[in-house]
Amino acid sequence: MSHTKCHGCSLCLLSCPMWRQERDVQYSPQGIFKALQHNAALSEITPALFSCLLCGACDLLCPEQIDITGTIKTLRRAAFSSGEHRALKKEIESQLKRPTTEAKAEANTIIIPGGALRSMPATLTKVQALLSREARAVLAKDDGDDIALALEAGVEISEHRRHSFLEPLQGAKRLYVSNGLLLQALRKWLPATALCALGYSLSQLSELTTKLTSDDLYLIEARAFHLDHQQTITHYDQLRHQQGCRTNLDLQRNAIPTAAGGLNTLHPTIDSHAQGRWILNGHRVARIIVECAEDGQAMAQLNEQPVLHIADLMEHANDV
Amino acid sequence: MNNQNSTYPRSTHGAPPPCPVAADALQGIPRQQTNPERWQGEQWASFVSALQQAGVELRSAQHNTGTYVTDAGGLAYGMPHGVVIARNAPQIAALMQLAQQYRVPVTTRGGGLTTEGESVAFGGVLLDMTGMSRVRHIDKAALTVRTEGGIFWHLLAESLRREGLDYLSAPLNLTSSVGGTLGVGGIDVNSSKHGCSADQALALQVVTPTGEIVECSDEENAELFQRVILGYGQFGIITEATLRVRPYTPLRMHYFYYGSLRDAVEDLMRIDRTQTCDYSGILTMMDKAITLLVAFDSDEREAAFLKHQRKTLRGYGELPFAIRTAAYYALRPWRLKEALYLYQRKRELFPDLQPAHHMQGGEMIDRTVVFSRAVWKHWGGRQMVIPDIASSADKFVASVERGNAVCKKYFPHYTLYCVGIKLRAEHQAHYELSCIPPDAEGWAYGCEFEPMLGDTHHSRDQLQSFKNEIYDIGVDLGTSYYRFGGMMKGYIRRALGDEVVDKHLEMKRQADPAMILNRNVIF
Ligand code: SF4
Ligand code: SF4
Repeated sequence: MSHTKCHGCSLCLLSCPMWRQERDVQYSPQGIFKALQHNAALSEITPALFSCLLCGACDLLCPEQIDITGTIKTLRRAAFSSGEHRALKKEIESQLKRPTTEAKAEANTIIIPGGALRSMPATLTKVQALLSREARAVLAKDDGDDIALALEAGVEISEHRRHSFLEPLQGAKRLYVSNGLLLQALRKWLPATALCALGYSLSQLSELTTKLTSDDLYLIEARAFHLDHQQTITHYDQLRHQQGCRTNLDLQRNAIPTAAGGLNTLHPTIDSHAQGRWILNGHRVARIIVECAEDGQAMAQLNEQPVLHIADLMEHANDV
Repeated sequence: MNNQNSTYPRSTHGAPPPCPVAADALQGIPRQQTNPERWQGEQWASFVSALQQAGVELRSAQHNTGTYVTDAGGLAYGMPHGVVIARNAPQIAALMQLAQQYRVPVTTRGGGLTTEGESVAFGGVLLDMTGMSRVRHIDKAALTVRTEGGIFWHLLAESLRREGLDYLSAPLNLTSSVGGTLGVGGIDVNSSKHGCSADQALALQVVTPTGEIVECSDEENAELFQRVILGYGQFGIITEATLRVRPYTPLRMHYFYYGSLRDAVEDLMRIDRTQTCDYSGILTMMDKAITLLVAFDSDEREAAFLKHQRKTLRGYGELPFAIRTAAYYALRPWRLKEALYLYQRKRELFPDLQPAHHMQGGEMIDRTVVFSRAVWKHWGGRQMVIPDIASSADKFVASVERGNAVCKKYFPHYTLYCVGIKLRAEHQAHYELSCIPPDAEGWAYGCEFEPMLGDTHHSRDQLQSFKNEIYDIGVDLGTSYYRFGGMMKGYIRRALGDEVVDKHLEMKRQADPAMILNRNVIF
């Protein structure tokens, strides 16, 4: 496994929310890999393995180009296999067994908004309207939140479940996906389909972005951002310069995640309140604009500034 | 030069040398064998149980201690018996009191960016200071920051930037810790204007080797302050520091290219004296492509420099230099390989010195990140040797030229990095037994000689011999060094003389009776 290449430079610590919280090298890719190089048992690194948010910032920093998040996912699978975190594994497996719809979505463009955005119907209607300008975009019946969770945790997804999720998406030419991990997996599973990050796509619409001001803090969804870093960094940098808004990019130009949603909800390790405070630190802003619904929920908990989903920069869906 | 006899002195296997800073002071081993003797763990069990009673967590599993097995140099290897993650000053004080009582060595480590094994524990306790890495308070009006000592400069910069502030000068590699840097110097391309990082410290909270928590500054406990600043970790552990900061400004970079080391070095020193630029330094690809970089904090300073100083520089612009270099190699086709190397390296390196998302309107907005990432990507590696010479201005050209000749002899590819360090007359006492040479006035100059090791295997003997040969130049010229601890500590007495070494050794014995704090780094 690629962890043998780690030479302990500490660069991966610089953007790592897990290290930031713990201030303990054990809770970092460096700590995990160095421990493995010195014969650590999986049980000894399990706390760190399951604290990682899989935000992907470290993948971009490692000079040895170690696939850090890929390695952590593999190690999580191995930890489950060796009997670690039985209850957590069971819980995720039970979610994967829930009944699903196999209705085929007859559309060229499908949106997979995820449960959190789905629970905001007015916002979701605007998202759908915004992404329907070229071709009508329909909402997927199945958000695949359980699949995203299983991907994050490293729990095996049965062929049946994967099939039931993918089947309705097969005919689509374009998919807008909210969850960065799901997006990454779908790129493997549906290589012929154009797969777009939902938040990134919204952030490219000038009718929304021109409403951003220098009093706004714009929260970029971390996983999708890091996944396509070369492309996304240029885009968000332009956005920042054009609109003067603040962003959650750190000095390394990595996106600071809120730690909201996914595995951290089911098995909380990273304090999303503290993450939110760190994101806000030093920024005196009037509004917080998010492109990911879970990030919005986390930032709203701080009770500071009003929090808006980017689609809500438009007042009505029929303004499109 | 009289290095024939002194470079490879006879081994003193087994017996500790009478003088712990003698040329062969790494106990029980000959000079070319680079690791010092491991502490054997006398009284370890009693110490551990006392530590437990005091509520100090100690980790001793192999996967905990193994994390710290080497430093950035990757040449010195040592295992601590146990690791303590620093959390607060009282915890460290308790650790030091017991370590003193049981005579257990304690090695402090921040970013672990030493290259001579200074932050490697050869037995005893490894105290990981990065556990104390929070910014305590930023005072925008007074332009100061109070921070914990284990913080990486990068994290400090991140917090300061949120407030529109910046540090004054910090090492190019930002995974260095503030505490570690204040202990050795800290040199940046703006050290010629602001001095070394150690000179930015206004006050410190220090845990002494005997476990007292003491606040010190030029006004309060000044003697301790003088010893801890640039003290190579011998006189205390920096748990908090108050540093001067400044308003943040982006910077405008200019590069001038030279074919002659001497011309570039002379120009560097001259423009430093004029104080017309805010950043300056030299970076080379061997002695074939020598780049003098200058940068400015304001458009006015830049314009004034270009108007008045540019014409006095002997360096070329990029295109004329490329043509000149092409002509040089066209006449020397047998050196095609070298030409290709230069071309390739330039192609790889230069885009990383101006990455689009860290630039804005032609200005570099994140020098912090750009330099640090470039350092790791283009100069970092699993093994690094970076011998250096720190000299007064009048010895600098000779130091660089002679060091360059040594590099050439040992390696096909290497780089030199030269910067000036503005000295503060009132800090003369801080500079004693440090990288600042005693004869430097106004500015001191440092040159690092770094071979590009890549994945090629080099024996430790070869690397050590290379370092020795560079350091012998320093002995011959009467200079100091930035990295004079750890594997190179045999040079301290030879370079700086008995009187100052004995004085500091005596002070160390008084401050640290069991001689346990960062042993083998200097004493
Ligand atoms: S993915 Fe994010 S949380 Fe996990 S190790 Fe990397 S930087 Fe840290
Ligand atoms: S950045 Fe990569 S090589 Fe460096 S410590 Fe982290 S995992 Fe190891």
